[in-house]
Formats: sequence, structure tokens, C-alpha cells
Amino acid sequence: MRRRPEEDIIVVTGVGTVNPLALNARDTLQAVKEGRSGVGLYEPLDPNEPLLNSQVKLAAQVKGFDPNPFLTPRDLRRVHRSAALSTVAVAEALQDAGLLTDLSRLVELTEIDKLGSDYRPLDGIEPGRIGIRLGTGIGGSTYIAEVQKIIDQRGDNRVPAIAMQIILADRVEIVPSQKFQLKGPAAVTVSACASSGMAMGDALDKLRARRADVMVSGGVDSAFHPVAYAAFNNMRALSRRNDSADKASTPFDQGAAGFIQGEGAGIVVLERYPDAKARGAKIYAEFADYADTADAFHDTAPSGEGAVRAMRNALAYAYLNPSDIDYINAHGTSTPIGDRKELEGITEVFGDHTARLYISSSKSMIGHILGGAGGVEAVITLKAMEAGIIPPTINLINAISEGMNLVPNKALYRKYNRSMSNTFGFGGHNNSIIFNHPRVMGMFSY
Amino acid sequence: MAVGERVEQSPKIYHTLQKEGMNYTAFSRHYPYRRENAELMLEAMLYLSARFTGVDIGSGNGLAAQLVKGMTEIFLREAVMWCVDPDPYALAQAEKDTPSSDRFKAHWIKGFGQDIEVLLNGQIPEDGVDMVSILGTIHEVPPDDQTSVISAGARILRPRGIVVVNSEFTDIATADNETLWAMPAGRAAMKFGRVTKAEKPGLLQRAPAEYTQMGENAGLVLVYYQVVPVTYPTQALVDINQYSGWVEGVRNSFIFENGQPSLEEFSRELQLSYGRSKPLTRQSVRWIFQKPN
Repeated sequence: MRRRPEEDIIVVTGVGTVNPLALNARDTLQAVKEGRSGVGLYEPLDPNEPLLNSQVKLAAQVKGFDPNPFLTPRDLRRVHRSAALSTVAVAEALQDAGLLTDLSRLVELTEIDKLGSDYRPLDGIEPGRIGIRLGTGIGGSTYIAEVQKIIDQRGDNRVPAIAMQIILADRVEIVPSQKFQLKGPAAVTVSACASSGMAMGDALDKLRARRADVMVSGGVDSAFHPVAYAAFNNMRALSRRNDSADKASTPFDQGAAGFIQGEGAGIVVLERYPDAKARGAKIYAEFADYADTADAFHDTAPSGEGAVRAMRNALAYAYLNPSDIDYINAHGTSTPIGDRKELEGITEVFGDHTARLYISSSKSMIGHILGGAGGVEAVITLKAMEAGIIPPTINLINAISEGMNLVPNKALYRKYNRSMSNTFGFGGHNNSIIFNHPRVMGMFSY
Repeated sequence: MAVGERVEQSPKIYHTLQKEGMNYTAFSRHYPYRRENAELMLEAMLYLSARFTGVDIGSGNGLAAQLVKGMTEIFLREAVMWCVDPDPYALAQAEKDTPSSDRFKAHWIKGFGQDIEVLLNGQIPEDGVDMVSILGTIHEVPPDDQTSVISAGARILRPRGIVVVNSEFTDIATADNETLWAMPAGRAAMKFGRVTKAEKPGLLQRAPAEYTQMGENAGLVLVYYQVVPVTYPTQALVDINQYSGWVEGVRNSFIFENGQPSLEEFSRELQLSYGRSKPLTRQSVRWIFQKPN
């Protein structure tokens, strides 16, 4: 194997997550090791909340979420829950990367415009050289339904002046951008359930093009709302196994009967290796490469072909052979068609090597976090690879495919070098990303 | 002079050959360069079958062969390549870096693209090969020979076969940032006394349409064309200045009143000068031509 020059290597130096398993990356890894389920019956955050759905009671919720000290109660009045989740996960990732060390420098959102341009809550980085690119599928758009209710019941002059700040998808990155003064390239990628993976790819490109020195990336979603549930349920995408909540998310199992909607955020901090090395940052992995493709095929059903191309292109861009990949964190949503198509695609790409691959779906534990799935699953993949753990596919009793190691029910302890993480989205979005363990950083096969 | 022999002394050599310390090896490992070529080769795979043959003209350090080898693994296909280059150092490096595999076999042949029909006579399939690749090379062929190289490539193709070409040396390559590319070179040149700009650049930079015309004149049909920006980090700019062909091209762009510096001396100054540059972008032009039935 040859090695690419250090200057071309982009590394992950920080991770952060809030998800149905835990409120930070370390505890998430522990839950993954134990193969815990984050799925349960939906618990309303507000007792006055309307019934989520008449048929589906299941949800993978973030429990015990406390955004303090990163967002104050006054801040929270201006942000959708998805932006609160992303802000807290961004904070953890920045702290993990050693860029956010003094929380006393943080101020309330409404105070920021009173500070001068020299306000710097982060350490050792010019605000203009750190950017943020997050993915979200739904963002705060379910709030539109709440606004409509206000208009219908009380008149349009009673719509809160901050309604738009809650609705807009870009709020999931605007809020952390303001809070932590991330003044480089900042945007949101919306591509359904592949949003996070695509955002991370875009962030990688920004670093390669030297548009920024550090990029915060990943994604978030939180859409427990009757609108989202009705829409997903009526297309028969959701599991209705209300009587066995923690057993209901069953990717790759013959009994898979739909996904469990989840919420959460998963964030990575990316930077060029020489910069990370110079400041002594911890290196989780090299972000070797990614590829995006579109099926251009069907609104909800995958073609399979697009996913195959995404995996192949990611390998080609990373200059790796299929046999170089050790573990695939699959999209695996627990929908019969999607799961089967993904495994068929993996077999097509990896050929004989498929039998030697470890393939698992984190969604068996965390449900489907929609546009945030890729971010949370990237964090799980990175933490697991660092710890030498293959995350399990829990609730896997009768696999839909023979001859594959789908890591049923129990995490495995193995050292490995390369992981691929797949995320696919309605409309035919496909994204595959590849991480290299630091011991094979920069190495390519041909 | 017999074809394939004594190429080092041939008038067809357009620039000084590579050697230890003055070669393409370091640059060829840079990500943006490899990515640009990988994207083009992925596009080419759409036109190739499960088993295919290819001829790589100007194989240099073996990038095209390495890409094809990788594609055979990724697409589970098989390929045989004949890789032709006049530079013995580059060929040796390429052969070392590109071992054959179960799916891929490369033959390394010293010679010129203009001569491939003679060089490969009896080796390649009688009905022609599936692909001819000319990656990052066409601008390094002497201008008067470029048409004949593309035509020779077209003649050894089977019907429906493809010619894959790219170049970062067309007249649009640095059209929007020419000064940024030229300034470090000028600074380096001035270290050797008074210099003036040569009347002609060290390397002819044609309009992309001229290469398109060459392909069409060879009886090929253009099926894919794209212009793509490629941004090189500072270290890549340093490393390209270890390549004898590049250094010579830059040196030939100046008239040195106190006499030309050696390539090694000039290379060192160029590396220092480009080492202070910010990352720079070039426009790469890609073509895929297809031979009609």
C-alpha cells in the first residue's frame, strides 16, 4: 500500500452525539457494547401534546436531554428541538476536539449581536476558518402545522414573531454557528435520510478546497409530530409493533416490519491532518472519502443500483479495494425492501469478500433518526472502530440473507482498519462514507 | 532508429526524462490529482465490459494502470493493459508500483504513442482494444505529433471502443488565475538574474476544442466532455516542481540573460517559491471519444 501526503489527509478530531441510547459519545459506545435498545413507547414531552398517531406508539426518543449550559431557557424559546439537539452535540464534539475549553465565554443567543467581532468562544481557531455543514431531513418544519393551528384558532396576528426561526431547516446549524462563532462556510444539506452523510461529504470537500481549516459536520433530526407520523405510517414505513417496543426495530430480520422513528444528533469535527497534528489533537480516524449518487427511480423504493454506485465510487475515490473494508455500518432501517436491497448491493460490490465483512445496523438500537441518522451512525462507527468493537444488530433472529456476518445481537471485539457507513434516503439519495483507522491513515491500495 | 529502441535520444522526446530526485513520483500520490483521474476512469467504466483490454499512452508512473487495476477490484472485472511510455525511469517505477493481480495484468513497453501500432503488433487483440487512455499526457506529446497519437489510438480500437483523454494544460486551465500560477515561477526565475518572458510558453496550451477536433478527425465521436476544477494543496505545488517535464516547461517560458540554470537548480528555487503559495486551482478538461460501429 502507498501513502498519500499528509497534507491531503482529512481527520476526525472530535465527536459528539445525543441520541436515544445516551446523551454523549462515551455513553453511547457503552450502550452499543451492551446492545441496548433506545426504542420505547412514545412519551410526550408536554402533557398537553396531542396523540402522536392512532396506530403507531413507538419512538426512539432522547431521554433526559438537558441543553444547559449550552442553551439557556431563553435560548430554547427561539429554537426547535432539532436545533437544541444539534447545538449540544456540536458542543460535545468541539470540546472533544479541544477547541471549546472555557464554557464561561458562551453567552445567550440574544446577547451575541451586542458583542464585537473579536468575540471568540473557541480556542486556537480563527472564527472565519471554522465552518459547519449539517444534514437534516425535516428540521423544524413540523412547526408549520403548529403555526397553522394558531392561525385557525386565534388569527394570523398571533403567530409568534420567532416562528420562522423555529421552522427553517438551516436553524440546526445557525444556532451552533452563532453560539460557538463558526463563521466559515455554513449551510444545511437536505436529502432525506442521507442528509448527514452528504453533509459530511460536503464538509470534506470544503476542507480539501481549503475553504476552511476546520469543519463541524454531521446531522440531526427530531420530528415527533402527528404530521410526520401520519405521513410515514400511511405509506406503511413505520413499525406498528407497539406491544414489544424494544424488539420492534429488526433490521435484516425476516420479521422486519418498518422502521421506528428516532431523534438525535451526531457530530464530527474534521480538519486537515497537519493542522490536527500541530495542535496535538486526538485523531479518531481519517475520513478517507465519500460518494453520493441518486437513483432517479422511485419516490420511496430503492433501485439498488444507486447504492451500488455510491459504495463503488466511495471505494474508487478512496483508492481502496472492496477487500480493504472490514466493517459496514449499514443503512438497515428495518424495512423489508430496503434491507434486502442493501444486502444485495453489498454482495454485488464486495463479491467473495462479503462473507468476510462485518455488517450491522445501528438502527436496531437507535431507531431511524432520519436526516440525523448518518451523523449519529458515523459517531457510533468512529467510537466503535477506536475501541475495537463491531456494533451489533440487535433483535436479529432469522436473517434475511445467508452467509453474511450481520453481527446478531452481541457486539464483537475485533481490531479493524476500515469502516464504511451507508445512508440512503427517500427519493433515491445514496451516500457511502469511508473511515480509516489512524494506523492505516493515508494508505491506499492502488 | 528502430521503434522502441534508444528512445532517450529520439527527437520525439519533448522534455528531459525523469530520474532519481527529478520525477513525478511525489506529485502522483497527491489526492486531487488521483481523484480527477479516478472520476474520469469511473466514467469510462460505463463503456467497458466484464473483461476488457486497454492501451495506456504516456503511462508515466502508472496511474492509469493503477486506476484500471482498482476498477477491476471494485467492479469485479478483468483487464489487460499495455502501457507505453518513452521514459525508462517512469516505466520502472510504474511496474514496481503496479503488480499484476488475479484480475489485472499490465505489460510495460518503452516507446512512443505515435508508434503503438508497431509496438503492439501481435500483442493486442486482432479486432482491437476496448480502451485507449491518454491521461495527463496529450499536452506532453510534441504539438505536431498530437494528432497522430490520437489517430493511432483510434486505429487500434475495436468498434464501440473508447479513447479517454484529460489534460490540465489547455488554454482554459489557468485562465482565471494565471497570475497566481505565474508569480511563484517568476520569483524563482529572478533568482538567476534578469529574465524576460519567452515569446512562446514552454508548453503549448491548446484550446480544448482543438483536441475535440483531433478526436473527431480521427473518426471518433465525442460521448463525454467535462471541465472540472482541481485544487492542489501547497505541498502538491512543491512536488510538481520535482518533475523534470514541468520544470523544463517552466524554464523554457523564460529567457535568462545570465544563461539557463540547470533543471536541478531551477527545481529547487521553484519548490521554495511554490512552497510559499496558497493552494491553486487548474481546470482539467476530460474527453471520452467512442469509435463508431
